[in-house]
Amino acid sequence: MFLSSIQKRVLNHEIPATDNMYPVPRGIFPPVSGGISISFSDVAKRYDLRVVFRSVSGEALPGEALVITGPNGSGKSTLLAILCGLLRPTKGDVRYLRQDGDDLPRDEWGRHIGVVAPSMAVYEELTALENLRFYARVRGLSIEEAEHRALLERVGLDPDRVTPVRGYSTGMAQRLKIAQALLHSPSVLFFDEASSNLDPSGQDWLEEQVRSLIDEGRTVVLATNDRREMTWGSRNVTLVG
Amino acid sequence: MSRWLAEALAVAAKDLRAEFRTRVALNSLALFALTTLAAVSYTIGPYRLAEEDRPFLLSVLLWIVIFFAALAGLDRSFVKEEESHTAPLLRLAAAPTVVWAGKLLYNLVLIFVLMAMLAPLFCVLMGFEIAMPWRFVAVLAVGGYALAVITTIVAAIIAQALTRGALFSVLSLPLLLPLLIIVIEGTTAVATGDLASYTQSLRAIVAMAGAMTIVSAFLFPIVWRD
Amino acid sequence: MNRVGLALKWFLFVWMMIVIWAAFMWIPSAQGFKGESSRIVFFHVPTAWVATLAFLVSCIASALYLWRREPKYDFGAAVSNGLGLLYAVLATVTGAIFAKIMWGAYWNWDPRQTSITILLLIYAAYFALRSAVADPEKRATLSAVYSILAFVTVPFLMFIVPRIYFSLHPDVITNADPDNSLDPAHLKVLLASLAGFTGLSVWLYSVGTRIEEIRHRRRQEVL
Repeated sequence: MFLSSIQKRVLNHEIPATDNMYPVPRGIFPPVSGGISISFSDVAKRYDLRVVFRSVSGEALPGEALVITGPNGSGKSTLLAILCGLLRPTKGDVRYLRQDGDDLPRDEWGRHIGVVAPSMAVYEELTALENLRFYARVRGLSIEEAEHRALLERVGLDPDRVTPVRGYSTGMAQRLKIAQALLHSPSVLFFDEASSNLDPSGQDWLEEQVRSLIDEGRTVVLATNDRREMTWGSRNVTLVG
Repeated sequence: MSRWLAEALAVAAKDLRAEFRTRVALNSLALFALTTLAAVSYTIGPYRLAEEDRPFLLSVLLWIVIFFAALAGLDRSFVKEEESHTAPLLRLAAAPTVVWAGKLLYNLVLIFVLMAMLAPLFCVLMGFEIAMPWRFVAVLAVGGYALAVITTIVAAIIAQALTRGALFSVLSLPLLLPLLIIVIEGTTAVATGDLASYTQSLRAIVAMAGAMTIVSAFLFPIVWRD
Repeated sequence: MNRVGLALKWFLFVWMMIVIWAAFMWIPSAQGFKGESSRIVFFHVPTAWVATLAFLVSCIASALYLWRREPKYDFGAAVSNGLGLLYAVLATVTGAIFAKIMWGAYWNWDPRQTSITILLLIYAAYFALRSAVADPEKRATLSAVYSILAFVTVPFLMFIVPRIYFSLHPDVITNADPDNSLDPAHLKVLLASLAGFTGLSVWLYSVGTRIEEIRHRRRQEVL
């Protein structure tokens, strides 16, 4: 994957200075492929004798947001993990479909996914910049230093900060997670309780980000109990728990 | 191919950088090795063992220290990823063989650093005379590699289990015992200057290292990605 | 329970009865062995054989599980390993008793004793791993992988260790010359015992896998 000239131009574009700490969001990168839709049917997950959920079905389409809701402990994060391909369902099917109708094999899902979740952390001993550099390198992407710095600035972090992530507040760490999810310009984005730990203006900023990701034709899946986040989606899957 | 290597090196570099900042695994390895070495040196020293027993017994002691130090520190590469919850994002970002190669490289660095520190110290403190010093290095290098390969795949397995600490030793030991027997034989051979026995042992270690490398490379994606 | 299975079970029972009687009553004590200790061979050798066979079966089942992902292969691997553990313990104990009588020491780490110990450690490690993983699919996958890893190290044991250490073990199996080891009557009873123990383990294996199947079905019903 490489950044197109359009993307490079967007990144080098000067942001007009404003009093608002969080820049007015705009599309960061255009999505790479023609859009990926996720469809899952009759998905169930059981751990030995404990059943997390029995039969869940739904779909997430490009240019839309799917919202997964349910009481605490109903398995929202588990379902998210299954949809990312990190967990195998006990039964049921999850399929990633390209625009041309071809199935994407499971080992390739990771390339097209960005995830922000409380159960998935970034490296605490590294700085924000080192984290982004690592994720870019390990994905085989050659992203220039300037682009990393621009991305960090977009999410509201200081790229020159040398303290490791361990010293970050939860809100700052959350922003870094969002940066990491957007780094490789994925077609599919998963947000698990992404507003948590963000202050009100950060939450506004996140909403703008999510809406613009949807506008760009990406597929967004939100797992949340936040009333505000629930309004961002057009489709709904409710877990009974 | 080179892209794969670059990605694997990125994983190894990240682990080494993080390790250098916290030094947890290095401390475990070094502390264990030095404490045991001190105990052995104090109780046995260079004079207690009879001349004819020295090559064999000193080989045994050296490798026991190395093996147990390895068991104290080499599981960290995978266990830390799971415990800090950084594993899921790594699973999404990196190809499985890249992760395996990177972690193996990291474990190799740890083991070789340990050996570089321990072997000379051991020889000096225990009066271990080696007839074929370069071949001794060869046995250490290949034996250390085999040790790293086996412990890497076992670490990957136990990282996904519940009771990690003891389980790492329990699972590694049956797989490491044959290796231990052969490296001891090889080290005894280099100490006494027995070329034939050395060659035979080295061949066996290389065969074991090769077999475990291939099998690990095949099985790791299954363990990592389920 | 079908008729054939029932008939085979009773046949096995009678067979084993005859083997035990033959081992203790019919066969005279062998030359070169102290006292009646040669009789233990009829039980020690088959249990060691079954322990190794069970390991092989479990590795094949593990490979099949990783290939096909069907739970029945996982049951096969687990049950086979359990049987292997049981038989390995029996083989070790009978071997140690024999060693004590013949050579005065229960244990001396000759290659066979070393190999069976490592096999025991592998079995124990396998079950330690199984008990440490909660998710059934993960448990099946990880233990299957470990089985295969263990299987890869076994050839190194078999071929390398004996060359390094001097062995006290009588070369009954590896020595192809029958005149040197056992007379025809002994050989007959030994082979009969071998067949009987194999049949016994096959039966135990089928019972074990059937139990696991039922347990698995019960769990699926919860879903």
